[in-house]
Amino acid sequence: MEILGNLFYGLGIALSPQNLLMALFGVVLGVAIGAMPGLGSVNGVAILLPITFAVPPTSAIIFLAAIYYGAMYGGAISSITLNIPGASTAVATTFDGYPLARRGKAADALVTAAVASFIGGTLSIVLFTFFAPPLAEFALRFGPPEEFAVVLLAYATFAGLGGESPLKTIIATMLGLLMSTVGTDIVSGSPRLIFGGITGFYHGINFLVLAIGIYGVGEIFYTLEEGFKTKERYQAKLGVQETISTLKNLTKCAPTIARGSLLGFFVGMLPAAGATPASFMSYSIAKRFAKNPEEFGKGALEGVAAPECANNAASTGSMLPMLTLGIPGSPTTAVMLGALFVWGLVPGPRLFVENAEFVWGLTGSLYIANTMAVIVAIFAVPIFIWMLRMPMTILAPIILVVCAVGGFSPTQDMFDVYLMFIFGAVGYIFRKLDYPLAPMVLALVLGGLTERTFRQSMIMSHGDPGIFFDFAGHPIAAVLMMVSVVLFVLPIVPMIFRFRVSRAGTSA
Amino acid sequence: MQRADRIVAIGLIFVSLGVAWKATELPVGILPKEGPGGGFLPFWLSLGIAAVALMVLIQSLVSSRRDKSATAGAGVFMSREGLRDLMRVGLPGMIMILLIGVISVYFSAALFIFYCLFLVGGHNLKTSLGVSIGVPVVVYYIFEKFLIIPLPKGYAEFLFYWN
Repeated sequence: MEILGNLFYGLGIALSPQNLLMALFGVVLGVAIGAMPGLGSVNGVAILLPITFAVPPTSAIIFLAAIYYGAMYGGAISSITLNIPGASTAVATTFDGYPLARRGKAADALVTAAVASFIGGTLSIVLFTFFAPPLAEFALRFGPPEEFAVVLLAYATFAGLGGESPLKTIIATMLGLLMSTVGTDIVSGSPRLIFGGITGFYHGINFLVLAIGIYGVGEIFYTLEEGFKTKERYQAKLGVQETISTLKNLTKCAPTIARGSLLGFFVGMLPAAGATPASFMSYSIAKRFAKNPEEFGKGALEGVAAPECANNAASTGSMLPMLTLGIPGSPTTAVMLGALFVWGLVPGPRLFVENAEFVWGLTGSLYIANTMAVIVAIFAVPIFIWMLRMPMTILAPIILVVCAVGGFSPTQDMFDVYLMFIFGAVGYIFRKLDYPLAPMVLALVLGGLTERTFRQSMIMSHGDPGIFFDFAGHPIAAVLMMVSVVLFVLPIVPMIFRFRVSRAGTSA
Repeated sequence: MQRADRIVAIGLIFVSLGVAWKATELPVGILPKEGPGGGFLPFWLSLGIAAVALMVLIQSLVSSRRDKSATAGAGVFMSREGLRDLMRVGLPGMIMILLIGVISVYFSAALFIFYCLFLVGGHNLKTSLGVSIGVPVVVYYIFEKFLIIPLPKGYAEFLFYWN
C-alpha cells in the first residue's frame, strides 16, 4: 500500500500545470523528432537537454522522459509510411508496417502502432512502479557472459526470418556483422578495416546509414524502375469507420501485445540490451506463435504491434537500472544519466528515499506522458496520410533529399551520405536477387555489442569458451545459451528438409 | 536474372577475400589468455562470406545445367525502360549528393527537386518552384534553427552568415 500512496503522490506532482505542460511539449517534440529519418530519441534528448537546465530537476526529467516516449511512437511513423526507420528501435516495424501501407492500410498500421505502444508502455510502467528495486538487483547480476547470451538469443529468435534461400540469409547476416567490425578494435584500440586510412571509416559504419540507404534510397530506386509516373504510390484511406474497424481487429493482437510488452520490459531492463533487440525478439516470437506466420512480412497487423509494444516497454524498462543502479540500459538513458549528475542527483537505492519527489514524480508522469503520446500520435495520423497521397513524382525527390539529410545528421560526416547512396544501390540489387536485407541490418545493429560482450567474456575466462556453459558460475548465461542453441536448431531442420524436397523436385 | 546472380556472387567472393587480406593487419588467431584477436572476427567472417558466395555460384551453375528451363532465376534483371526511368532520376540524385559538399545541401536539393518535378514529372512551374524552394526552407529551419545541427554548405557557406 505504501507503493500506491507513493504513486498518488507522484501523480499529484506530475499533474501540476507546469509538469503537465512539460510532458505535452516533450511528447509533441518527441513524436516529431522520432518521425524524422536519422533522428531518434537519443538525438532528441541530447539536443534538447540544455533547455532543461532552466527548470527544476523533476520537471526536467519529466520533459526528457516525454521526449523518449514520444520518439518511440514517432519512430513507427516513418517506418510505416516511408519504409525508412526513424531509429534502430523502429527497424522491425518496417517489416510489416510498410507492406500494410502499400496495401492502402497505412492508417490501420499507424493506429495499431500507437495503441500497441500505449499498452506496452502502460504495462511496463505498472511493472516499474511495483517491482523497481528487486528487479534492479536481478539486472545487476548481468555481466558480459549474460549479455552475450541475451544478444545470441536475439539472433536465435531471428534465425527463422530469412528469405527463400538459406545461403543468401547467411551471407546477409555475415555482411552485417562484417560491417560492424569496421572502425576501431574495441580491445586493443587500434584502427581496423579502414582501408588505408579512409577517415570516414574511423567512427565505424552507423547502422542508420545502412538502414536509410537500403530502405530509403533503395526503395526509391525500386519504385522508379516500376514506373515513376504512376499517379499515386498507394491509396490511403482514413475515416472514423476505418479507425473503429482497426480497433476491433486489435483484439486479435492482444496475446502478441501482452507477450511483447513483458519481453520488452525485461530485455530493456538488462544493462546492455535495450529496445532494439527487444523489438526484433518480440517480432520473431509473434511470428512463431501466429496462426498465420506466412502473412508476416507481407502486412500482418501483429507484425506492427509486436515490435512497437516491445520497444515502448523496453524504454521504460531501461530507465529502471538507470535510476536504481546508475547503469543506463540504452543510449538515451545514458544521456539522461549524465543529466542526473548535472542536476546533482546520485542514482542508486538512496535516490528513492532522498529524492522521492523526483522518482515518484517521474513515475507518475510516465503514465500521463504515455496517454498523451497515444493521443498525439493518433491525431498526427491524418497528416501523414495526406503526405502519402502526394504523387510519386513529388514524393520521390523529397524522400531522397530527406535521406541525404538523415544520413548526414547522426555523424555529421559527408562520407556517410556517399556511403548511404552506395548502400542504396547495393541494397536495390540485393533485393532483386532475393538477398534478405533485415538480417543484415539486425547484424550491424547488434554486431558491436556481440563482439564486445564475447571478447570481454573471453578475457574474463582467460580464453576459455566454457564460461558460457558454466551452470555453477554463470547460471543465467548458461540457461540463455541453451535456449538459443535450441532456437537455432529448430528452424534449420525444416530448412534442410525443404532443400531436399526442392532438389527432388527439380531432378524429377 | 541468373547472370546478375552469378556476377554478384563472384563480386562478393573478390570483395570478401580483399577484406580478409586487410583484416590480417591485426592478429587473426586466438591469443593466449585473451581469446580471439582484433582481426579474428573480420578475417573469418569474410572468408565465410567468400565460401558461402561460392556455394551460391555453384548452386546457380548446377541448377541451370540440370534444367535449361528452370523457373528459378528466370526473367530479366532489369528491363530497358526500367533502367531508363531509374537513370533519369538516379543519376541526377547522385549528382545532387555530390553537389551537397560544393554548393550546400539547400541549393543542391532545390535544383534536384525542381529538375524532378518540372522536367521529369511534368508539373507546372508554380508547383515545381514552390516545392523546390519550400522543402529546403523547411529543412533549414528544422535543422539549423531548431535542432542546431549545421548541415553542409560547401562554398555557399558565406551566404548563410551574411548578417
